[in-house]
Amino acid sequence: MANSTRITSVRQQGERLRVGVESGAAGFAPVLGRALPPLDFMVGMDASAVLAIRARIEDDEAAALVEAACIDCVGRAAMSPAHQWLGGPTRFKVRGLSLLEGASIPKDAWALRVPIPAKAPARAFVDAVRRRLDEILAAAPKAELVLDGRGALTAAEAARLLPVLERYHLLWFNEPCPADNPAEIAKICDETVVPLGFGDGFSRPEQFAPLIDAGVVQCLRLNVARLGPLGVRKVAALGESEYLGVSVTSPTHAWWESAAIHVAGSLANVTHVDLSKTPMNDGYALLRNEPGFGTEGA
Amino acid sequence: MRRRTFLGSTLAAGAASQAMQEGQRPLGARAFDAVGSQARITGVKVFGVSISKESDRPYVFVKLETNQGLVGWGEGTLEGKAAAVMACAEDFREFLIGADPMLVEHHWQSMYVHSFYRAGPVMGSAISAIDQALWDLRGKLLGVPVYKLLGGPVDPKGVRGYYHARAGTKAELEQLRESAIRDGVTCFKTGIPGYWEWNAGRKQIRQAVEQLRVVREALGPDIDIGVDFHAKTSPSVAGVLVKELEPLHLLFIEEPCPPENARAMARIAKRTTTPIATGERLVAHYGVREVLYQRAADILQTDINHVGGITALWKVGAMADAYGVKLAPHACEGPIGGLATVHVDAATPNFLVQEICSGVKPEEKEKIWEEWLGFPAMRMVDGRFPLPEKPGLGFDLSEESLKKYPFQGTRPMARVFHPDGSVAAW
Repeated sequence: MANSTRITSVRQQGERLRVGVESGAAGFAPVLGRALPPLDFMVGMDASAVLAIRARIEDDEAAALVEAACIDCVGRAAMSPAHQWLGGPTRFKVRGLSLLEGASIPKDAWALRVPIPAKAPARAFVDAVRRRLDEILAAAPKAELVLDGRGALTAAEAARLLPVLERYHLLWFNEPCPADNPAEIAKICDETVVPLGFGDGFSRPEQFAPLIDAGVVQCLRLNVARLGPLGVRKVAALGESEYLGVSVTSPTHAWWESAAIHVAGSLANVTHVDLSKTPMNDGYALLRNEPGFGTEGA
Repeated sequence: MRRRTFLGSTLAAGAASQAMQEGQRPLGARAFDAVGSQARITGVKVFGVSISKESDRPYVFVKLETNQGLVGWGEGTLEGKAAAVMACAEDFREFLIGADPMLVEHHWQSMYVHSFYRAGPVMGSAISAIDQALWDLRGKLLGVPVYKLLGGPVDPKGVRGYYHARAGTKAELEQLRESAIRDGVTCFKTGIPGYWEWNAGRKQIRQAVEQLRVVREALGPDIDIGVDFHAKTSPSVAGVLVKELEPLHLLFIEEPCPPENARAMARIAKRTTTPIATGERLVAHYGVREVLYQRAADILQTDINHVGGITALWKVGAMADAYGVKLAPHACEGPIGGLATVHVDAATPNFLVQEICSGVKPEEKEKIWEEWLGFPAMRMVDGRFPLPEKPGLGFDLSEESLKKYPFQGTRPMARVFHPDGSVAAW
């Protein structure tokens, strides 16, 4: 396919970006309302040269989106699922992590990401967290849990929760506080064995290095729509050398979830993928073998 | 070869697995029947190749054969330990026969983790050879050069490289400069002279600095120079030398002390503005973790024939990028590893420069490489290694062509001693 992946067209079709190549193949990625920068420069470039393409796009998330569309495209052109193109598969299925929203608790849930309750005075808040976790485990006793702080607490507020959380053996406490201050996070981390997860909002691999160096993160949260497929692979390598697991997340959208599954399926150290739109069986989503990311996703 | 007929087809993969005898599948392979390709590894061949009787680094090549008629080549040449690497590569046969070659990360993990002892240079080199061969196959199966599978090329013009400065006198160095300007070569590497003890007196320090000053003067300000300390100096001696050499504005100083102790190297790095390079003896991406954490180096030089092949070298580059560190891989073995490295370089945004242990004039070994591969492998054009265009690693090699250079046993690397009889580093 020496010249068959030369880009012939790049355009937004409704809510998705379409990258077309000489062979007639095309790759897609949903733009999800994002304003894309001018991408005409891509015409004539090889769709596989995603690093050179990315280097010309300043907006990290737009670059990640374009990268994903290009990898979808070259996978389709080669009739190869993206997980194979990226070096996988390392597994034939990936564990899903479902976001628990609303009052209804799925009884057969395997892994749930539970947002923290609304903030309240200190004692009341600790009690509210405990009640919520107890309620979930009573309804779904086999579920593994991730408590998601969404960066909304201060380090001190998060630290106050930890003695309570230890007995729940959470998979990890996600973003207990903002991720930008490793010294602050260290205050939490030094006092607990509850694994901490960070990275949902990061769009560059180098943002992870200070947290890893400080030893304050035990689960790297890799957003494929912010980092791009190769960026996820890079941070996963960084984590692997520190014996850290990674969890892949994405926007709540079937196409992005499919992309997340493919990328996760190429990693050695992935533990979970955030999934809300994807069917699962016994807590797992199967890798699929259609070319590219397997869905054109509008 | 009908690539589209065997890639990504669940049904077809199932059919292929049925054709494979039960005993020919590696442990765990069946789990991937629904998500792998139809391709299966049917043969693993390990070659020791001595291009001279005296060589301390007979080449170790691995060839993987498949049921698709495609083959993959890789290299695991390890200086002074060829036979050990060959035996280790043979040990991995049962990991590979009947396996899907597309699953390169899975195979890397299996070889590394299931070996329990997690690498070391002998196993790292064996894994390197197999990993390169798997990537060669992956590229051939997908119909693309390997660097495209890694997101490259960053620069389609090729990969900047350097030769070794094979010159003894100032006049020879000046000739070298002229050749370099004519050929577009922008960088050379030389070594620090002599053998060094735990401490060094002013005479030896002055001689070394003067010799390197002459190199800089003769090559001029427009050519970058790297100086390899070859881990011959202790941190205290290196600390003095790196300060003295700052006015030469070197591109890097390599291995200013032995590589096992990143903290010791970090002390040297703190004392100089000259970038410190290291990594050729480090195995796996795990091996560079402490170097990065300790800020011991500005440039990583892991060797694709030891670090764990393309998979591990790419990970080292990715890790280095997150720390603002450059990648300048070591390459002093055979042509397969050299070419494999160029693919990773081409797909590494933080790539700096690629070594080849040769001079501006092609050496005898390179004539043999050309005889094998049909083109001048690892020869620069306008100061850059051209990017291969053919699928995989970009070359064809016949077993027949290697027969002229049968394996003649392992030879140790140079063994040198101080005047008092104690062991010195070469």
